[in-house]
Amino acid sequence: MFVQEYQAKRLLSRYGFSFPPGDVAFSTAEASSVAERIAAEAWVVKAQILAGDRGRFGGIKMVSSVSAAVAETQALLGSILVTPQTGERGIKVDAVYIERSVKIERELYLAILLDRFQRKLVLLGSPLGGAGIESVLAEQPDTLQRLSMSIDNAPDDDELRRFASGMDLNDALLDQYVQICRGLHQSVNELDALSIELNPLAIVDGNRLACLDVKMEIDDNAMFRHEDYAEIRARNRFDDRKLRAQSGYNYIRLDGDIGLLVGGAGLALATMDLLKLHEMEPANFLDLPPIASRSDVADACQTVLESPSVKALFVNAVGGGLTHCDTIAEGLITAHKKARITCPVVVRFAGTKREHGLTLLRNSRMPFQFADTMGEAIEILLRNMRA
Amino acid sequence: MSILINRHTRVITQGMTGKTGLFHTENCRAYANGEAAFVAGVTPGKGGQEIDGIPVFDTVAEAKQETGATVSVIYVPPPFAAAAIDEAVAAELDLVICITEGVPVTDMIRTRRKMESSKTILIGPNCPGVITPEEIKIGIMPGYIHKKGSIGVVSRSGTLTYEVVDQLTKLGIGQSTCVGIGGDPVNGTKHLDTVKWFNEDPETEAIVLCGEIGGTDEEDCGRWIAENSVKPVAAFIAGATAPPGKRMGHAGAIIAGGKGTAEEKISVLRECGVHVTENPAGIGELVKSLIN
Repeated sequence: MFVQEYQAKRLLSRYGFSFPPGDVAFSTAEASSVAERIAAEAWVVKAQILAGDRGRFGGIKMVSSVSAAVAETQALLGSILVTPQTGERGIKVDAVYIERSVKIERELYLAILLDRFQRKLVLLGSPLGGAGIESVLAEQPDTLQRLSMSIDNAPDDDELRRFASGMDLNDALLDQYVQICRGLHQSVNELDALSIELNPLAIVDGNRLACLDVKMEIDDNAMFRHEDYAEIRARNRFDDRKLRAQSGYNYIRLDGDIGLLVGGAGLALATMDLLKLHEMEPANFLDLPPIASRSDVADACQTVLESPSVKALFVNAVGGGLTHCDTIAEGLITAHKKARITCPVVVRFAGTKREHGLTLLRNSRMPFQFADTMGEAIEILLRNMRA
Repeated sequence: MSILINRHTRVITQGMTGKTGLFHTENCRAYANGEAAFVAGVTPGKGGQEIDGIPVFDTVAEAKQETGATVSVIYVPPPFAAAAIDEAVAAELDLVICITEGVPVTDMIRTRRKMESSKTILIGPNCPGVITPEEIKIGIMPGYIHKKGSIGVVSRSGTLTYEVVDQLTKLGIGQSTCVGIGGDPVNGTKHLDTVKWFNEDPETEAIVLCGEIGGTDEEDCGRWIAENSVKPVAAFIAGATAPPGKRMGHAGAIIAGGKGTAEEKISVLRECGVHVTENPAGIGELVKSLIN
């Protein structure tokens, strides 16, 4: 799960990083009190959305009075921000972060990430940073330094200094940089982060390194170790619909018109591929885990059908694990009882409890269309879409 | 013959007294020689009990010593799964199959490092398990769709493996062994290890490789096949149509920086002489064309 800038800054505050004074605001009243509390000549009002490139697309505003901070907050809250990273639909702004504006002398880039394939932590640093760093690094890849290290032990100061020596810093800043690297190593471990990106890490006030923006991803699998993340999870739900489903299934909305209810990520991807091979477009990716219950299936079914573009539903399940075909059948029937399913539903069952699942659906007298194989299901879907 | 497991394999279930462990142990016992194969359970603090005639031990080492089992299957919940693998490795089992989904990445990195000098083979985590049809099933796959035969199947995804097996069996084509290596990026056995074993197995005539977007495991496997393999390999890569940058279910399935796309994997595999289909409903037919 990615966390909002203000959440990341809160989580990282105890690791010795220097952030400009700031706080989150969910309303204009909160914005006013935050701005007043932070003594400043100028403030930055930043939309809190889980996507980058906010600055170039109207999500970051510079203001020089408390009333202007409130006005910008009012304009941002409830608005839809569209950046190259949000998708065409954009993301609604529900919170802003207000912080003291600082005079930036130079911007750098520093990130730490868990390289799952090498099974190590990697520091990535560049003397260049700020907005658009991806394209800068694509053009000047030599400016990016890498340092691999074990997850248990941070490198010694000499090694970190060698890494930092490419960043064009004076001695005082170099010491701070090394400390920040140590803080990143420690925080990744203690917070179960998969990546922390400081961009920009900026030289301010002549001799100080400050982290102006943070992008951070936490390992969903490690949530059980962090009760304090519950509030973050609850807050971020409205931002990303798939998180609502995190306990039961994984849902990602797409642009097509065939709703998909599929067991398992691999088969879900393959089902999307199969649709496109026959020039049909999936309305979503949906992966039911092998422990999905009847109510998970019902909820997933409703989520898929909530999208107004869905013209037909394709249920593709090979029963296994604890989720058998009859569980999926029961989930479908439950969903139909809650809110009548009006579009054509093509069901393909194989694997555990296939017969029982099919019997339940047949007895339900709901208008299902059955297929034995994925190939057959595609033919039925094509007939439906042409009709 | 087969790979990894056969009718003579003896198995310890770690986490047998939990709901999931109990359910799947019962199912595995009901399949082929399962009754004789599942000889011990391990749940710390519950040693000395007996469940459905299977003795429960406190530790893996004890279970191994008392029963002679050399393989374990793990159903313990995610917070304790890595420690369960560590215990099985320390007991020097031959094979550990971790079904548990949701193990933290850092836990798995530490576990893999502890395994560096070990001979224990790890399958998973987040995998459906391994089956040698009509001999033994260790995992959560639906047993009845399988049929004994000569096709080796390896896949990251459980349900996609079932799909391939279903297609093969419906065409009358049996399987030597089916291995689900799991969807996590930090796991034990890779596609390449499994393909090497299938290549050495006299009973395996052809291999099905199911991959998906993310990482470079499939490409690594392809390059080895180009230089070594003598058996035909059929492949399907799931996720050709997945939008870039989104994580589709499996944590390993993310396309980063243009790496790990289905397009790239398919082109590398084809260059390496692997038979790739882009139609997930046509994998069985492709295999049929390779063995006739």
